[in-house]
Amino acid sequence: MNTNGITSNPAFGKIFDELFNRSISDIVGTDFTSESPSVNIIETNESFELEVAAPELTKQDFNVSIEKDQLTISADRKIEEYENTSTYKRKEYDFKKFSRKFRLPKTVDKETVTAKYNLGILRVTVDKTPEAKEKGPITINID
Amino acid sequence: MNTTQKSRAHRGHRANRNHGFFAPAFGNIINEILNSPLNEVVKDKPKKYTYPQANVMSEDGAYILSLAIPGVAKEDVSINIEKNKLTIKSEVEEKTDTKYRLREFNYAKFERAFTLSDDVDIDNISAKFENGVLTISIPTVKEAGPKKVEIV
Repeated sequence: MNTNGITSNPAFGKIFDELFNRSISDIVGTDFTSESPSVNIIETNESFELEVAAPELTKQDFNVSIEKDQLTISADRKIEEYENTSTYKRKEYDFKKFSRKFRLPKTVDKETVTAKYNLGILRVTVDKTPEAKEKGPITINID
Repeated sequence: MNTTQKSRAHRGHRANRNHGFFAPAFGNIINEILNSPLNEVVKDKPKKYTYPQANVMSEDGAYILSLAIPGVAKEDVSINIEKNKLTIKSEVEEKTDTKYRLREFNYAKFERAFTLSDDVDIDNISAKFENGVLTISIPTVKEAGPKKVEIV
């Protein structure tokens, strides 16, 4: 795993779900409820962007925190909208309560983390330090 | 596998059993069309990240189908009903210049189909899209009771 990027901590991640639940369901259809949202991490010249696919929530449900080099994205939604009047016939996702942790590289500025919730995606942007930002090619003039 | 993961896996499994997807009770609701041919699944491994998750709830007089497609724009989604097959899809070509460090989902291009049961009122199906979830409301028609024929 590349040490320059943000890494997902496997112990808290989806790896166990993947290993123990997903392999068979790939072939016969989904047979368990996903309770941990999928995440994409995009690297740009200036920053890392984490896209957390957690639909059906509101921005108040999220909690984003940084402790040392660990970024934690969690949600805890207490409202049970349908529980009383309806019954689940099929349940493939449930992101009301989750927590995912990521290790931040040393090349990011922990003070400039921003988060935005739109279209069911929580987008967390972590800026790179000025030194780590990729600069364009520099032309040196020969005197 | 530690205890947390074990209980999670167990919970998921049990949850589905309770909801009885394979039980006859589910039979006359919305049955999923075979996801895709086996060879396609094996060959096209990344597909699982492009395959949106769905919840189905039963309410009084309706089924509520929720499809989790975060990041997808409303204009890009099409819902089509042909006979008793409900198909939801999006066909957006994604940008190729994005540099992904981790990729766990991609719903730019997806297709999922469901088979509707006979007790569904196809003409009154409605849909809304909010917070990355497409919610399709599928009303059911009241089953006509046994018909009594009067002898004249």
